Parts: sequence; structure tokens; C-alpha cells
Amino acid sequence: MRQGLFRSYTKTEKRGALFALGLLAFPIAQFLIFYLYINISSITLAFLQPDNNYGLANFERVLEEFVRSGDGSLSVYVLRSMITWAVGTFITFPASILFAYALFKKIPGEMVFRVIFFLPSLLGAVVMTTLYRYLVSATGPLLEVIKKLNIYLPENIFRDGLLGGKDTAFGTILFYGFWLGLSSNIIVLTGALTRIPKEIFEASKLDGTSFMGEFFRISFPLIWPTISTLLIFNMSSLFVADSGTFLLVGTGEKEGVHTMGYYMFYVVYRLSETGASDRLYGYPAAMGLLLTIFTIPIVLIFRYFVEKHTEDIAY
Amino acid sequence: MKVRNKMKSRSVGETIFLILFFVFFVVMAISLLYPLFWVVSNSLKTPFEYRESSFNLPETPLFENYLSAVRDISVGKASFAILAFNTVWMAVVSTVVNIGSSTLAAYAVSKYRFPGKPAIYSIVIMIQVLPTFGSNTAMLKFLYDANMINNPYLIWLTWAGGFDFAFIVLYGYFKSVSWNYAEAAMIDGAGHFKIMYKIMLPQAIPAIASLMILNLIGAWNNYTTSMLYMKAYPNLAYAIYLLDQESMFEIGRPVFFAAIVISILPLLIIFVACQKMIMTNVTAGGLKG
Repeated sequence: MRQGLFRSYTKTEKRGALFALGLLAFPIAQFLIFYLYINISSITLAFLQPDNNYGLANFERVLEEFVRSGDGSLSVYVLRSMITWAVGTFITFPASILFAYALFKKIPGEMVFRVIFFLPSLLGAVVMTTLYRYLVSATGPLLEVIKKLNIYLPENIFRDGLLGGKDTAFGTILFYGFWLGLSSNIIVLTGALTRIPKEIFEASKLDGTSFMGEFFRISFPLIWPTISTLLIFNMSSLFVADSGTFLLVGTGEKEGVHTMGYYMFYVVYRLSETGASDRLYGYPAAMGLLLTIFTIPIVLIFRYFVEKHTEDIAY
Repeated sequence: MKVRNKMKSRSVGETIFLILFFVFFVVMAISLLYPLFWVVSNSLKTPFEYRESSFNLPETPLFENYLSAVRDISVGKASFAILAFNTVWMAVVSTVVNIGSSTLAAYAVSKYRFPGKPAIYSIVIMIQVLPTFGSNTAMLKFLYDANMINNPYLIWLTWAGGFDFAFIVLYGYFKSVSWNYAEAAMIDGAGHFKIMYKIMLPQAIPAIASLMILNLIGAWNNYTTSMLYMKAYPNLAYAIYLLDQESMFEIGRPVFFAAIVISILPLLIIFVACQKMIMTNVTAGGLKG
């Protein structure tokens, strides 16, 4: 068998191939267990009903919760996830490209800004969300400033804080995502911009290309492969377990804030708290499977269109 | 003067763009720095001072709060020292196994020909792209079944994935490193292992080190492992989350803020010392679909 596999290899190549496979043995074994097996067992778990038999009861429950009305409906959670995604993709992401571009163009104080913008990653989600919650709380600086400026806001907001108010909580979470999302792609995007050869910019300057022209006709197309990859990654994280919202709003029953990602994380968190028996794993697994089935075609179609407009750029 | 000269060599459009963004960056920087200033300032107050106003500066900085944080803060049976120890071992082990595994995988795939090689890079990209929601549930069940919950001797296996973002960066990095030295060494009788650790890996050290620092930062702040799988081994990030849920009558908010400052201090120092290396090296391989 091995002879067959290495038919076209010279003796040296075969030795190299065996060495490479040796190096890959652990990463592949880890992948097979913690990615492949986990995802396959996630599918089988989805069919494990609360009565310990296999069937479709979990899917029926998910669909029932999807079509019911009110704030606890899964369709409302899905809608909120899509709004979060849309804000991230159409507002935050384009702004973050301009952000990276300004840094790449050596804005005065560039290095200082780079360090400051990396702070959210450095401090981590727990510290950032804790600080943000204090900032927008009833006694926090933001509402204090608004009060001093005599800007009108409903009374309950000054009592409950921006995250406590039913009407303002989701917007406050969206703003948090925007605030931190602006700087989240800086390393990757400025990296892509830096890889564009300087001669291209110099030549375009000699040709009299304007600043806007340089951005839209040179920089943007040349970093499109990176942008498209980030867009695809972003698309595939549509319903990913959203622990950020979980940290912001906690485990309490709050109206008007839950996204699908939050709910997915919350259900697993509850399971981890209770050390639940096997039969309770089916419901979240079924929910995850349905969301995956719903999202895969969207991601693949999105990827097809994005990559169709991606020429193989070499420089 | 230098800045003015720099601005002079720019076109009008570029200057307007940069001025607009400069203003925006300053606002953004203040919005990111103020919370940090706020937490440090409040960590130096008495509980009474903090309740009176969280904006005023402390009348007399109360550095004792930092001692109180180290002495009095605990989560369950875990004292502050245990929380710090858990944070360090989890961050270091996770960084070593994750980047170690990714380095071996990226080196093998980028530099050798072997059966199944073309499939691996495509699979890595597919993993990044294909959404698999709900696998957290199966992971939790698997870890229970495999006796890996609250098991520090086995939990590291979940961190040792070799086909993630670090793989993509290192794959690109190794691809750009010439194989000529290796061939020369081979003629001199060096084996594959010797070539790897004597010739190829040293060339990738800047990228590996940068990825390690980034990974260390992420792992230091990782609260989900403690929250979901290792509750008996809380780290500082998870402890801050738990403490914030409590009323904190006993320790008081300023001491809690002091604990936050202590928990982020090591990362701030590491980052300030290494930020130039990170910014230049992680981007070298880059991300290309």
C-alpha cells in the first residue's frame, strides 16, 4: 500500500514525505477528534430527544420556538443577529478599511494610535465589557455628561442606564460592536496594504492619479483578496456563539437584546452550570444544525460572488 | 516641523482625509483611553469616594487597594494567587501547544510533498469559512464523556489545534523562506529534523514569536474555557466576570478595579515591549484567500 502511495517519489522525497507526515500526525489527530468528530457528533446529538430516543422532537421544538410571536421567538433572535451582522459588514467593516488606510498613509502619531487601537484586544472581552457597562450605566460618565448638557432622554434611561433600558439596550450593544470593530482588522489590513510594492504608488503619483483615485483604483483592488477573505469569515460567523453580548447583558431575562449567538452561548452555559444529562444536549445541537444548514448555502453563494470578482493578484 | 514637512508633500485630498481621520482618531483614542484612566483612578479611592463620584480624582491615592485585591479577592476556594497561577499556566500552555502544533503543520505542508497535501490547505480554508454552529454543545458533552472537564492534564488537547489562523500566517511565511540552505545542508548530510530546527525554524522565529505573543494575550483573556469547561480552575478573566456579578460589599468596588488593573498589567508591559515586532511580523505572511 505504502509503495503505491509513494509510487512517483524518489527515495529522498519519500523520506521527506514520511518526515512531513510524522510532523502532521499530532495536528491531524487533534483535528480529527476536536473538529471532525465533534461536528459529526453534533449532528447525531441533534436527533437525541429528551426521552432518550432518536427522532425529530428537538427540531420540532426549535421550529415551534421560531414561529411563535413575542420577544422570546427565535425568529426575533435571528433577525437581531442579521442586524448585528449588517451593521458589522456595511458600516463597521468599510470604516475599518479607511481606518487602516489612514494608518498606512502614516497619519501623524501613527505608532501611538496603533498601540491605543490595540488596547481592546489587549485588555480582553471581560475587562472591555465591564468598563463599557460602567461607562453606559445610570451612574456612569456618559449619562452624566448627557445630563449636564441637558440632552433629553426618557427618564427610565437615567434610572436603568443605557443597557438597562428596553429601547436602548440593543442599540448600545450594536454601538459596542462598532466601537471595538473599527480597530479589530487593523493588523491584517495594514499588513495587506504594506505588501503593495511602493513603486506602484510612485508610478501612479507620476501619472497624476489623485488621492481618491489611488485608493479606489490601486489600494482597494490590490487588497481585495484580503478584504474578500475577511468578508467571507464575517459571513460565516453570522450566528456564532456570541459571548460578548453575554458578558454585556449577563444571564438575566432582558427584553430586546438577545441574538441567536447570545442564545446559543447561553444554552451551553446553562448546560455547563448544571452538568446536564445527555438528553438535554439535543435541543441546542438541533438549533445549531438548523442554523448551519441555513447559513452554508448563503456563505457558499456569497463566497462564489465575492471570489468571482477576485482576480488572482500577484505582486 | 517634521510633521509639517510630511504633510506638505501630500496632495490636498490626502491632507483633508488625514486631517478628518486625525480628529476622528483622537476622539477614538480618548474613548479607549478614558475607561482605562477611569478604572485606574477609581482603583485608588475609598469606597465612599467612589460612591460620591466616579469622575473626581482620588483625594489621596489609596495604593492599599492593590494589596487588598491580592490579599482579599477570591473565587470559591481560589485565592488571588491561585487565580493568577491558573491564568499564567493556561495562557502559557495554550500558547505553546497551539503555536507549536500550527508551526509543525505549516512547516510540513509548505515545504514537503506528500500524499494528501493538496487537500490540507483547502480543508484549512474550508474550516475557516464553513459555519458550524452548535458544536459547543457536542464539545461540552465530549469533554464530560472523556473526563476532560476540570482536568488540567487533558484540557490542553483542546487548545492544540494546528490548522487555524496561525497555520495560515506561518504557511505563508515558510513558503517565502528559501529551501536553498536546506538543500545545501542535505548535501552535507543533515537530516530533515536537523534542517527543521537548525535552519528553517530559526528563520521563522520573528513570526512564531509574534504569533505566540498574540496567542498569549488571547489566552490570558480567555474566560470561556474557565466558564464552560474548567470552573474548578478559574482564571483572572473569569474571576473578574464572577466578581462583577456580585454586590461586592465585602471588598468594595475600588479593590475590584485594582484587581482589574493588576490583571491587565502584565499584558500591557509585554505588548509595549514587543508591539513593533508584532505589527511587522504577523503581517509578513498575511492573509490571502
